[in-house]
Amino acid sequence: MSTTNRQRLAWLGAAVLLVLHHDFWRERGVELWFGWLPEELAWRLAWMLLTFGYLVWFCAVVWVEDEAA
Amino acid sequence: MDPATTFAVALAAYVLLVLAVGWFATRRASASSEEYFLAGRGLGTLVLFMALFGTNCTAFVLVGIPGQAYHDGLGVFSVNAPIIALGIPLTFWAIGAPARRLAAQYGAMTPAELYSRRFGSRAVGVLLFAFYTLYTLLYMVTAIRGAAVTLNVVTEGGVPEWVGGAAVLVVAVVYTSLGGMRATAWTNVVQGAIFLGFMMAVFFVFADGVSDGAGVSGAMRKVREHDAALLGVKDAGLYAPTAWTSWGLAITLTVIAFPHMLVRLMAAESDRALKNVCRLYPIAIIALWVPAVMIGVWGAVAFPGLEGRDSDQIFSMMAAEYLPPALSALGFLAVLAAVMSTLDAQILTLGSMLSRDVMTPADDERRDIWRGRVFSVVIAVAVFLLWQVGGQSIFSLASIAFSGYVTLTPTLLFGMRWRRFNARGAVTSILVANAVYFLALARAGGIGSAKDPAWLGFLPVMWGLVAGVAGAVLGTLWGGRAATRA
Repeated sequence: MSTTNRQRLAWLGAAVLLVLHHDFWRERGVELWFGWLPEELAWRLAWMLLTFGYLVWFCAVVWVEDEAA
Repeated sequence: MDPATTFAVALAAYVLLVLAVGWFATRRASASSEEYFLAGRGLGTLVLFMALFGTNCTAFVLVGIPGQAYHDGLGVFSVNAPIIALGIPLTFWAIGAPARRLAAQYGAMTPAELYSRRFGSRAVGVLLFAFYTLYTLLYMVTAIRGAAVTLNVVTEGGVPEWVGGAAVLVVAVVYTSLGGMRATAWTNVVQGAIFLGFMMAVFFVFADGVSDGAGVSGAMRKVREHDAALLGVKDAGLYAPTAWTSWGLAITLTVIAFPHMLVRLMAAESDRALKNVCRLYPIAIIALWVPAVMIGVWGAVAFPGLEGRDSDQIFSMMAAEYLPPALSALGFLAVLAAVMSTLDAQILTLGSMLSRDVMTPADDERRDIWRGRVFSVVIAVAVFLLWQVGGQSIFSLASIAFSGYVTLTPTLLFGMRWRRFNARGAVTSILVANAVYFLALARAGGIGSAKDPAWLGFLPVMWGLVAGVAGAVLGTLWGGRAATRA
């Protein structure tokens, strides 16, 4: 994959994460999943784990070390 | 050992430890200005991560966030933690990485010095210094107040708030001025380990305490019975869509604009170390923020009825109620560690900027270092006086500063990533952004209204940011192309 395509993919990934963070389309319940995990917290933690994966990929593939500023 | 003795021993041990680290770093710090102000630009992954994370997390997270979650519930986590887990690492890449490389190339030791040399304009450096100082002093007050409130509650009023705050400042100034950046970075490793370890450990202790031994599930069920809304997100105020977006921008972009964060990025030994930090950030935020928010939510069940800024005491009240004396003492040390890990960086950075950006750097490097030390004391005194006349709650004060820093991000970003961006654009951006920000604050209701909508439902920070981008573009493009890089 070319550098340009990797950068496009990175922008797309960030945009998807931002849309998922602005989740006003989602029914925000107060149920407890598995009897202990609030639905709201579960959603946010899942989002953050997805972000962790994105950043691992970003650092490995998109971030060019010591590129000219 | 009785609780008072346990507390006194733990506090004494902590103070001796950080002073010893400061003393240990003195020898290397005195070698040159670069060693003192930037630890020789040699911070590796572990120290860099703890220095950045420790600096990033202060009383705002350990005291202000539980206090806010007490009233607003899990929404406090939702509106803050996820977006910073993504945004902060990306700003480290967009601004921090090129800033590190250019600072080394120019021999710059402060953010204002870096941008001043980048544009070949002293005006840019002085302007950045002025706004950095304004917002950092406000931010430092929140840190001091957090430590002072906690010390006052833990000692049941035995230590007046002003005495606790003054003592924290004195200790931070001593080890910071002794060992410079290296001392603050090393102490941040100790401090970060204390507050991160404590928060993860007490999460389960508090759950058991609130639920009478029924654990996390019992505590969550109690919250649902007490007030189920605490497990969801409000749909007004900070949680309305426009305010949500505005605040997300504020809390994401503000961190890279903290001068005490940017200077630590400039001290990284390599891009590789920075990348490692970015990978670790989301996990560390989960580990810290989940307990911080749940302390507030569970505290609403355990101690109902607190109003306004009284909820800032919920962390200390929970610790006093549910933790054994040794862990309770550790709880205070956790707050103290979080506060001091930010405070030391702020003192050092403002001191270095006074020494190098306002005054001309001395030819004799030892004189430069001593000036930095003297200015550290001056800044500590200024913070103390400002704190004594202040009156907003921790969260409100922090949000004024957080939003204010964002007005500088267009200059910081374009300065690193847009070749045509010039000094005229930077000056225009900073002035216009701050003028609009304060106008928006006035429109929203006054100086304490950073979290209230100004126009069209958006918070003042959004208007300041938009004005900053517009000012940067117009200022740069008007008058043709100028030389922008040394």
